[in-house]
Amino acid sequence: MNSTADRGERPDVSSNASEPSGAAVPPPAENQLRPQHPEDVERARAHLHSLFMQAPAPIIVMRGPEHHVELVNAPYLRLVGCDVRVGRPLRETFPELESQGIFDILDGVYASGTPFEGKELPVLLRASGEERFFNFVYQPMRGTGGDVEGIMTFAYDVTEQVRARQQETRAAAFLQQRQKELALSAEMGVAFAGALSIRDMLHQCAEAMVRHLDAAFARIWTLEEGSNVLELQASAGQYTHLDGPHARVPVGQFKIGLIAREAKPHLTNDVQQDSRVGDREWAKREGMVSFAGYPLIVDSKVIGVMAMFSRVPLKEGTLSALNSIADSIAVGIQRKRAEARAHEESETLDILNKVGQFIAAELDTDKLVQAITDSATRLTGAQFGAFFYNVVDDRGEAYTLYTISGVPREAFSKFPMPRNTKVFAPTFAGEGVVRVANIRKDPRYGQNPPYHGMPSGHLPVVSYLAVPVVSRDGRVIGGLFFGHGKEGVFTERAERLAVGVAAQASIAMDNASLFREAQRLIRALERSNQDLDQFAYVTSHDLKAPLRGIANLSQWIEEDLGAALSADSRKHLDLMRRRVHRMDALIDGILQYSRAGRVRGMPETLEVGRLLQELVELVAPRPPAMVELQGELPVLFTERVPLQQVLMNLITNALKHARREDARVVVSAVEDGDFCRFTVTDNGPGIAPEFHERIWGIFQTLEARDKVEGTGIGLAVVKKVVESRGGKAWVESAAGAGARFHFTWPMKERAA
Amino acid sequence: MNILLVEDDEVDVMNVRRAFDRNKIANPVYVAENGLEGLRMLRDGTVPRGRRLVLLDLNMPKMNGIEFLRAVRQDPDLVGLSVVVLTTSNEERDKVDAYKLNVAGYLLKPVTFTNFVELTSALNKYWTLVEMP
Repeated sequence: MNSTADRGERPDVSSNASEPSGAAVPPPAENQLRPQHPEDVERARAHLHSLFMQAPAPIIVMRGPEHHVELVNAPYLRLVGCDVRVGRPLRETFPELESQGIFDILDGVYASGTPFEGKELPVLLRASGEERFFNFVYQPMRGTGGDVEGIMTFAYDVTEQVRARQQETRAAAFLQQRQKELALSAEMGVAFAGALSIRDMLHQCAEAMVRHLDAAFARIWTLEEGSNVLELQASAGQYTHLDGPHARVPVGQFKIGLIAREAKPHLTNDVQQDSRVGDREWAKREGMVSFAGYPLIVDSKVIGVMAMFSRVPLKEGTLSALNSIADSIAVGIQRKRAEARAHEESETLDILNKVGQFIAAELDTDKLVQAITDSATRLTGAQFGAFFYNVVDDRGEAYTLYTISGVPREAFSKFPMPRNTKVFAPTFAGEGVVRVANIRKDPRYGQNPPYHGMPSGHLPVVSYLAVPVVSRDGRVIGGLFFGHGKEGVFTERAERLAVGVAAQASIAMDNASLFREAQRLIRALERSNQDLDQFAYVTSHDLKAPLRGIANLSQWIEEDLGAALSADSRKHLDLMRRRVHRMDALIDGILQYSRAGRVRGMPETLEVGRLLQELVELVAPRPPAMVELQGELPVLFTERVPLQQVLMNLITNALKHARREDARVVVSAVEDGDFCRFTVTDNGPGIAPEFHERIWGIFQTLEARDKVEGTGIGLAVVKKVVESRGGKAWVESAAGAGARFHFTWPMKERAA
Repeated sequence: MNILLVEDDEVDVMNVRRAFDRNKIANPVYVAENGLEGLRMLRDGTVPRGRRLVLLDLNMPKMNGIEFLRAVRQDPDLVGLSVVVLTTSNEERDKVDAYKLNVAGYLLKPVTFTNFVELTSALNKYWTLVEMP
């Protein structure tokens, strides 16, 4: 150790000499000790030994090529945590260091005489059982001949510092990771919140994964409910195309399909050896290292898969980020789907409404059914659609083609009508909707001779949708059939639309048939009105002619007989003629009644006051009888003649039935909402309540005709005319207290 | 002035004759039972040509009054013939049809003979005026 000291070239050691710390002690001590006597040397050695032993820094001194331990101080023992056998090679104490390269360093220092300084070297000691970090110096000690005789070691445990620094680095990395994750989830949040389609939203998510998770590329597939095929919705990074072999992945096939089926993530940091990776050659060529695929799960249902390849290994943080991303994408898809469904639902309703309005307006059945077929074909996205009437032949087989859409009618005309096969029967039986992705694979298909399926040259139907059209009374009117040459074209939405159109169709067809029925009734009514006109005409001529003859003949008899006629006979002839006149009046009454309210003219602006004044002049009551107009009379917009007829009948009725010279009739009219209420009051004997209904009937009179000449037609005509205008007529009266006849008449009539 | 009465009702014919008597109308009166007969009598000279007046009922068998009028107006020899409708029909349609066919008058048959006599008197005045040069 003396030899080491005189080299003096190691600044770190010599500089320490002036310091009071233990580590600095040995070299200057040696320098001072060299010229002493052996006793002095021994004393100095003991002194040095004691200094070493007391030094607060861990020191061990080894001697010889086998590194026999010569001296070890307490701090060193504390440092290594075990007993060190003095006088024995260090290897015996620390066999575990054999594999850690420590002895190689010691051997090197011993052989070369070059000191070694280690910084933060990790060492695993048996005693501590953990890796610890040390700063140490292996200082060769030279003998008087200058040869290396031993090695002195100063060691410091810096584990805590190293760990602290490592922790700091990890924390920084973690922070960076969290920042990435936050940025990622922020981007996802934007994608989910925006008014984007599912596809656009997923595309943004995939791009965010590439930006923030070191993905070489990321892809997201979705799985529709009821479907067995994952559809690629987004692809970002190195590959962005959405077609090709990855576009549609069946559940259970390839690594993506397996993730969906197992509902478990698949993660690897060794893509090139992973048996699930389909093209490992490609992975090697592209330098792909890791793969992470997660199922997208909502309510324990797999609704998609997201996956990424990366050229760097997956880190813990990335995995946890992926986990939460998978969750939020799944929820995002679910929400978007719900939104889309709600939107679709309202859009569907809207379309159906429009179709409904359109077809409801069509009353021609042929055009109607064509319109129904056309719109349903368009709405379902079918290549062709047809409506078949549910008319079964004697053998219970054929249906009648009614309309076709999407292809010319000739496309079907070569073929016999569809028959009552297993495919068609459920529709014509009204059992429900048949929607098949591929009808050729359906068990019901191809069971009937002679064709066992579609005859050759038939429109190529693969996707098949059939909806029964059922009338309100439950009768199956027919069926709407849709076809498409591609598989799986008809979605649940198409089905909903077709069902909606079918419902509208049945209502519209019911309406159309009601309309036809109404038209038929109207024509029948018109005919019957014509008959009535004819009847009236015949009546006026043919029934009146004989009457006139009787009247004339009776008068001629009376004239011709002259004085020869007895007073009785003369009276009888007079009575006969009066009855002839009555008959004549009755015939006029029938005519009047049959025409009342039926003949419509043009409405005009009518001053009720003026009309009544004219009427009163026409009626010309013989004084002291009088007709009085009361209050302010309104102006109507109405047809003149019928109103005049009604008022005339009531006024003449009132005058006639008052049965007193000073008959007083008061007419008033007041506006009452859309109607004008007229009242004709008289001071006659009144009408007992039990007759209030009876008086409105045709040919009903309350007096013997010989007392008051009346046909009993006036009030019947009043009622009929008033009611034909939407008004009503009624009477208020008590026997002996006069009568008040009321009727209402529209203020404003629509032009006919 | 020769008068052709186209009328199927015997009592109505008597009515006209009696009313003429009562009004001392001495013009010759020819009677046809329906339109066809009336046309024949006009064309074959049964009713002498020259001044002629037709009193026409509307409702008759075989050929009614309107049909008769139509045939008259299409016949160049008869197109200017004076025709007065004498009918029970108060139908708007009949009146319009008759006036379209250029009738000189449309008279409703009164129910009583007295009234008919008055009507005949008015008729007489009418054709007397017509006859004046």
